[in-house]
Amino acid sequence: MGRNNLYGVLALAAFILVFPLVRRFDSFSHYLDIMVFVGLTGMVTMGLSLLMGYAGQISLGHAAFYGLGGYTTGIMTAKFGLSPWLALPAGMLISTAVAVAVGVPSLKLRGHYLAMATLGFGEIVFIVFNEWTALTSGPDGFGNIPRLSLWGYAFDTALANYYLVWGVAILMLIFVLNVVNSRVGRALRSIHGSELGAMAMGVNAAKYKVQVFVISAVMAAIAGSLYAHFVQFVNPPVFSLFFSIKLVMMVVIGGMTSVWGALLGAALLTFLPEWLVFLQDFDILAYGLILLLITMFLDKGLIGLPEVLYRRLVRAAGREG
Amino acid sequence: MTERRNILEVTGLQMVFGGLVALMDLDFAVPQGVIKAVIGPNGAGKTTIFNIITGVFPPTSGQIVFKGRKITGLKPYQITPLGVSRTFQTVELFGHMTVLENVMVGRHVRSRRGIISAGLRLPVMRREERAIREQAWACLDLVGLADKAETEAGNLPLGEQKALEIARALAAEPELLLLDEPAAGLNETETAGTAALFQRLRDQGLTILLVEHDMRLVMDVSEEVLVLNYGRKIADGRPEEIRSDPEVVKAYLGEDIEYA
Repeated sequence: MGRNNLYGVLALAAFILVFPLVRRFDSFSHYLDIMVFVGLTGMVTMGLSLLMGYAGQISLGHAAFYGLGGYTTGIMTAKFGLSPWLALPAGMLISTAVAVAVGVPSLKLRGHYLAMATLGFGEIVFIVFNEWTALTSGPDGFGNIPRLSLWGYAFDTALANYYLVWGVAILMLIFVLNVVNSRVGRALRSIHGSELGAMAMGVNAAKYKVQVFVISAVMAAIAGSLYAHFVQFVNPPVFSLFFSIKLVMMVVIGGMTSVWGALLGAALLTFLPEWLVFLQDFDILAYGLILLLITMFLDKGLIGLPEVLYRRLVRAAGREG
Repeated sequence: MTERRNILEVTGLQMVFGGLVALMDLDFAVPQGVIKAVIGPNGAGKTTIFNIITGVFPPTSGQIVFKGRKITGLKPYQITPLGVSRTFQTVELFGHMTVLENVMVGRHVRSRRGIISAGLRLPVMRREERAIREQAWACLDLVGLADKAETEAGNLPLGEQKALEIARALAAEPELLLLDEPAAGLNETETAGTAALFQRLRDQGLTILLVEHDMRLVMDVSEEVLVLNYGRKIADGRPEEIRSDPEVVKAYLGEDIEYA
C-alpha cells in the first residue's frame, strides 16, 4: 500500500487511540458519539470513493445498502432474537445479492446508468422500510436492538463502540488502500487513463466495476449493522435518498480520487453542523457556503488543500524573489 | 520461402460502418514468426483490421482464426490472453500513471489475483505483485526506458511514448504483436532503433503485423506486405514482388517507388 499510506494509517490509528484520553472539554461524550458516526459514515464513503474515484461510477443508493445492513441486523436480533453474528453476514449477503442484481445490468452499459438504477433501488428500499410494517414497524421504526458482544465482552458503552467502529473502519481503510495499490487498482485507473488502451490490455472494465460496486455495498451494509447495534434503534429517514446524496457529497468534498479524502469528507460533513450551531438559523447558509467554496477552489477536494496552498506559497515566493 | 504454419488466418472479412464499406471481402494470412506489413493510403481500412482482430468491434461478416482457433466475436479481454497484443496509432497510454505502472497493466492478462486477495494482501497476491513488477522492468529494459520508470507516462516525448506502448504490449506476452504506425512522428535515428527492435523480437519467435506509412521501414523489415486500397486487397506478397506489381504502383506507390 506504499509507505505514505502506511504512515497515514499508523497516524490515524494513534489519533483514534489517544482521542478519548483527552477528555478535558465539556461536551466530550457528545463528541465521542459524533466520532462513532464519522467512523460509520466513513466506512460507507470509503467504498463509495472506490466506486466514484476509481471505477468512475456514481451510486445514489448507498444509504439503502446502509439501511439493508441496519434493518437486517435489527429485525433478526430484536424481532427474532437471533445472534448478531448471524445477522451481520446475513446483511452482507443480502446487500451482495442486491448489488449484483442492480449492478450487472446497469454496469454493462457505458454511461451513468448505475446512478439511475441505484436511485430507483434506493427509493424502493425506502418504501419497503416504511410500508412493510409487519417486519419493519413502518415509519416509526423500532428499538430494543441489543448491543454487540464478543466472547462475553459486551460493547455497551459509547467508548467501547467507538473503538469497535474505528477498528473496523481502519481495517476497511487498509483493505481499500490495498485494492487501490494492486493489479485490480491499476486496472481500474487504466480505464480512466484510456478505455481503449485498457481494453487492449485485456482489462474487463464491466467486471471490475461490478466487483467494486458490490464491495462498496457490502462495506455499507457492515456499517449499517454496526449502526443498528450502536443506536439500538432503526427508522426509515436515516436511510433516505437525502443521506445517499450526502454520502456522494462527502466523497466529492473530501476528494474523489483519494480514499483519505472520503474519510475527511465524512468527518467534515458530520462535524460541520455541530460547529455551526452557534450561528443558529444561519447555520445552513454557512454550511452551504463552505461546501460551495470547497468545490469551487479545490478541484481535488479537501485532501488537495495542502497541495494548493503549497503552490500558492511557491508562486508568492517567486514574485517576491 | 519455406512453407510455415499460419498464426493468423483472415477469410472473407467485411466491415460496413453504416453504409460505408471499410473492408471488402478480405482474405490474408500471417505466417508464424514473420514481420508482415499492411500498407495502403489513409482510409484503406488498416486500423479497422486491427480493431477487428483484437475484438474492439466484431466484423460485419468474415472469420478470424488465430492459432487454429476462431476468435471472431470474442471480446478484447478474451482475445488478449490468447496471445494477441497491440499498440495504437494515436497513443493510448495511461497518462497519469507512471511508465512502470503502464507496463504493469500490460501484465494484467498474465496475472489473476482478484479484488479480495488484493484487499487482504494475501501472500499469494504479494508474490504475484513482485513477479509483475520484475517482468515489467524487463520489458522496460528491452525498449530502453528503464531510467524513466517513475516518470508519468503523459510527460514523455512522443518517441518514448511509442516505445512505452510497445513495452506495455510485450508485457502481455503476445505471440502476435499488432503495431499501428510505430514510426509515425519518430525521427530517423528512432525509426532505425525501432526497426532493430522489431527484428530482434522476430528472431525471438514473435510474429508482427505492422501498419506503417514509412516505406523504407516497411521494405527493410518485412518478409511480406499486404496492400489495401479502399478496403480491398490489391496485392499480397514479398516486398520485391509488391514493388514491381503494376496495380500497386498505379494505386498507391506512384513513381517514387524506386527510392532504394
